[in-house]
Amino acid sequence: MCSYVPEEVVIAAGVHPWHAVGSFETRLSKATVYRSVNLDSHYTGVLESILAGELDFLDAVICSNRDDDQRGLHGVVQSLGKFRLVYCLATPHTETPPTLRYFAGQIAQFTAALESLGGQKVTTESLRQAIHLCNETRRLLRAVYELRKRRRPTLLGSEVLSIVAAARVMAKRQFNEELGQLLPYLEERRAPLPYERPRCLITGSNLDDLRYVRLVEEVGIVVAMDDLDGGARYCWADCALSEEDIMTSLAKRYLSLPDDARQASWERQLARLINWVSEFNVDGVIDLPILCSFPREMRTPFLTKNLEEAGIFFLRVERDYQYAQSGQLRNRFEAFREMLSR
Amino acid sequence: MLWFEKEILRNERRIARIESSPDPTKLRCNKTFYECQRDLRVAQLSALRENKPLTYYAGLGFNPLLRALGFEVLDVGLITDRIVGETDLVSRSRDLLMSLGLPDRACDRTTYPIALATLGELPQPSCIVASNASCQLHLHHNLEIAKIFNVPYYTLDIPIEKNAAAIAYVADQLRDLIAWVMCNVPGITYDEERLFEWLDADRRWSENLHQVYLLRKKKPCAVAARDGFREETPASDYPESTREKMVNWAREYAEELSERAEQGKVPNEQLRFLWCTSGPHYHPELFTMMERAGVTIPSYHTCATHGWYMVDCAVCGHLTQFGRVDSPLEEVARLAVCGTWSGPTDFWVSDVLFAARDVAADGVVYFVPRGCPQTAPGQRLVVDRVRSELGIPVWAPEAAMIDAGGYDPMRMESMMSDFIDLCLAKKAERGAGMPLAPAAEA
Repeated sequence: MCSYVPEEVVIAAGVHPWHAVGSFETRLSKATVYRSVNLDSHYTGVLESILAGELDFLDAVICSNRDDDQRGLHGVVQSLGKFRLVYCLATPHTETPPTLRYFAGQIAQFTAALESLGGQKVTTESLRQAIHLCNETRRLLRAVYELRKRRRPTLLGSEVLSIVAAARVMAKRQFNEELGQLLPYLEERRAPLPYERPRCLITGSNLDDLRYVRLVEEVGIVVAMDDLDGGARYCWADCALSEEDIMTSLAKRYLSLPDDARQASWERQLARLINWVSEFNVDGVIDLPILCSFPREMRTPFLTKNLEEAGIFFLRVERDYQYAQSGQLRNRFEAFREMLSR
Repeated sequence: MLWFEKEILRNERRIARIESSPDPTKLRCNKTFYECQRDLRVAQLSALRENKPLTYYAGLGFNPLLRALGFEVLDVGLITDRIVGETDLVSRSRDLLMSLGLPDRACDRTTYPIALATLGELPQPSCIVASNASCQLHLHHNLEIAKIFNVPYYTLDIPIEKNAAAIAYVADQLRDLIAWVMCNVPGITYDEERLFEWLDADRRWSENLHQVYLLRKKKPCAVAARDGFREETPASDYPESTREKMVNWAREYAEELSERAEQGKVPNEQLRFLWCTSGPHYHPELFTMMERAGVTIPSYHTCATHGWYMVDCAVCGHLTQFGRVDSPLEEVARLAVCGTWSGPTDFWVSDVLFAARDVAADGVVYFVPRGCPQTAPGQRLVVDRVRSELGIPVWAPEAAMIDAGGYDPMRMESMMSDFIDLCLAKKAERGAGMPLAPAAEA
């Protein structure tokens, strides 16, 4: 459920990590019995999928508490009694020595819970192997992202995000093998793009329905980069193994990875965004927050003010998790393209 | 500045009214409460004028430490509650929030302080301490306020666990916080003896409030609905000069309830409601209506107070509910950790169940602040479990706390009336005097 749940631990415990996507239906009749309309529609969508039986193949649902709403969803899912394990990983909102120490302990507890689920002891060696495997996935994905820096990218933004989506559900070894074989082709490919500018960076969270990204591309904007948990934020940081305790290494990786508005490090998030705008030669930033994703929305005045001061064109459009109101969105994106093209 | 002066005058008017023509249906100790409120604003105004270190409320449990460090603490949430009567300010705040791109459907108690700060209605703090002890949006609004005023900030993380490890974790961060504050704010020093004094005052306040709680639980409850809907504020919410007065207010409160019970001066109780989380502060008539219908509120359960005074847990230097004797800093950590607002949903739901059983409630009003990611997800679970395990009705209205825009008071009163009728019917079915299952420790 959450990009702060260490996949390495899941893999080392012999469990297959699967990023749960919520229902893309616009009518969520089952979930709205449990959830108000004034809550994040991503979590409502996930609950709808669960209640509809679409996720019955899962043995466990793992959430984190970096978001009050996600923690609340955990409580509801736990009450349903559908899964063998429903776990909420305590994830600190900030990175300091005390929080690192605590998070390392929490990951150790999480490991023990997964051992019971998978029936497989997690050893230092199995964790190291899992870390190497996941780091390789991230390296390969970053190689794909490098291709987006080109004046004429070899992939559409929506294609890149589809590849990341695959990484989050496929067996890592198989994914690494297949992407490794695909990369040489991607390096030579010409993306089906009739234009090279303007270029944008899309930021947001839980942008699972890629029709939003395709809509941006349809109106004539190159999606050159993203700041999404299902995109660059998933693969930008490796887990650095050192002499310290392996749980501490994992805690460091997950607390220092490119984070989103739910974490308290707003300056770091802004600096990274501005850096990516420069690195990927981006003309403007499109923020697509989910309606009622309140922690993200709380950051808006800070982000707007600072992007303006940095001279970066910025468009913010609230959306549902489920693809909706494409007509209105198209108008907004077209107007933004016009502005960027001047 | 103007707001503080207006608040001082408002409380002085209330005090004068009580002195000249006291309402026999209201608590006498309200006078002491308003005096404390007045003194709090006087101290805050004085701190501003003398340029003393000031910070904003950091979340449940941290005031003793912030005061021991020498800060004057601004209770921004409660200040925001007070603006409900100022429709122009609410309207300007709403428009500003929309123009800033802030969520209009989020909890207004967390978004309106941002508007007030931007409009210049709140003073510049020396620094901000942000935590998720009250909730995550509170953490974020404090971050935003730090950015507005361009002041340094420190973030405290409150875990979901409610155990000794969680206390140790938060205490670890508090040690780090103390070092940070002393580096970043001139004039700040840490004195553990001062912290002990603040915690001791809160302990005595808590012991008195526990007596109040025990008295309010009696049948009939001696507190009518209007007086029942009041958020209790610990002694550490007040300046040092008013600290003992607030401890004494809690004692006066207990004595007055005891006296009322002895003299039979209690409301004509027909129903007992557990009122949870918060409420529409702009609609006091709702509580007047409840009072007329014979509804008492034995407990206004803000879901923060279980570990403070609901159960008989001594604090600071004594064995607490986690089976340990805490140092002063660990006690601050315990107060932050034991609040349910940062905890898992099942803890939250169990807490409401415990409270409803403990006060022998005939009905539960589970108020959901509009756009609250903490109370809203648990709503269905609370409703289902209270109905199935306690057999009493639950009403879960959703509305804003500060902004009455879009709120229909007549519809709300009509629904309250229906709820009262339902509770009366269910009570009659249960048979008068049949107790609920005994309360187990949550």
